[in-house]
Amino acid sequence: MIDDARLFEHSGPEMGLFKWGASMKQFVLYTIFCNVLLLPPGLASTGSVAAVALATVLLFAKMMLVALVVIAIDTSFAKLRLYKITEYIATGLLVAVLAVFAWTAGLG
Amino acid sequence: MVLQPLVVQAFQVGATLFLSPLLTGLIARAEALIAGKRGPSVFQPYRDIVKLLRKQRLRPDVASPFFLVAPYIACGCYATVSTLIPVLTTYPLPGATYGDILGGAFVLAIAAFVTALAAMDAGSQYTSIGASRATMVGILVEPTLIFVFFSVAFITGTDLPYAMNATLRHSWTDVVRPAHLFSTPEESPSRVPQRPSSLG
Repeated sequence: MIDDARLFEHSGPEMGLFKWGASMKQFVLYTIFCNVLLLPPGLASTGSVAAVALATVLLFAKMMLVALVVIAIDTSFAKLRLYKITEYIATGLLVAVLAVFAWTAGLG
Repeated sequence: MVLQPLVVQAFQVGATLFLSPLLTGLIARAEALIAGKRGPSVFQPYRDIVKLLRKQRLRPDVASPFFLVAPYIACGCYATVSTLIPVLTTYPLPGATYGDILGGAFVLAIAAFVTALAAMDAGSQYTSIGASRATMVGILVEPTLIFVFFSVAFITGTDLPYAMNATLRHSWTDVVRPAHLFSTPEESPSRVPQRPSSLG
């Protein structure tokens, strides 16, 4: 909703590119989440066509796994009010800071 | 047949360009199914994009030419980021070490910046509100993301995406460290609009 509001004045090809870009951003962020942070296995270790094709399929499988969790969270909120977003993100920031502290304190 | 790294890199960017609408479609379909609806075809985003690409181009009188250039820059940024991250292979492809994970984040920030600038340029109140709200959310989310990347970088000892992937792949115990478990849920893909085609 928030991101779409920026595009109200665009039309035609530029609008299409922004939509395409939104999909690409989603793809890139899902890839970072899956391949860099949480689910590292399933990538091709050689450049063979079969390995790359298999990696593509596995990437989509991992993404859908993550997507199901995201959808579960997404559909359990009817609507998150704009002023509540800060609280939601502040919780995230707090947990992330806790992660760094856990590491520096030698717990992790 | 073994592909050259450069070919694989090209395929990786191509996958980001041409398979990303499929991901959006799959997610929209899964969301509809979970909500008990049938939902559109998984190829609907492709149809939407192709339809829009054929349509007429309009620019508000008050907008500068930058208004029309911005989406090309933004799409270029997203395609560039896909060269820096391990999308399909475990080994670094050509150009993969030109930027670390923060470098990728900066390229994504350029895309967000030009999108906001184009929205302000349009001279409409609604797009300006949209730009300021999206920027506000970005301001709040980015410190969190930087903390997440730093804490994972502490564990893996590097912030190159390929090296992070290799470290975590070789020791599953790293994935279940408290520091890593605390940090990963915050890199929430839910920040991305789940329904990029919810307009109109």
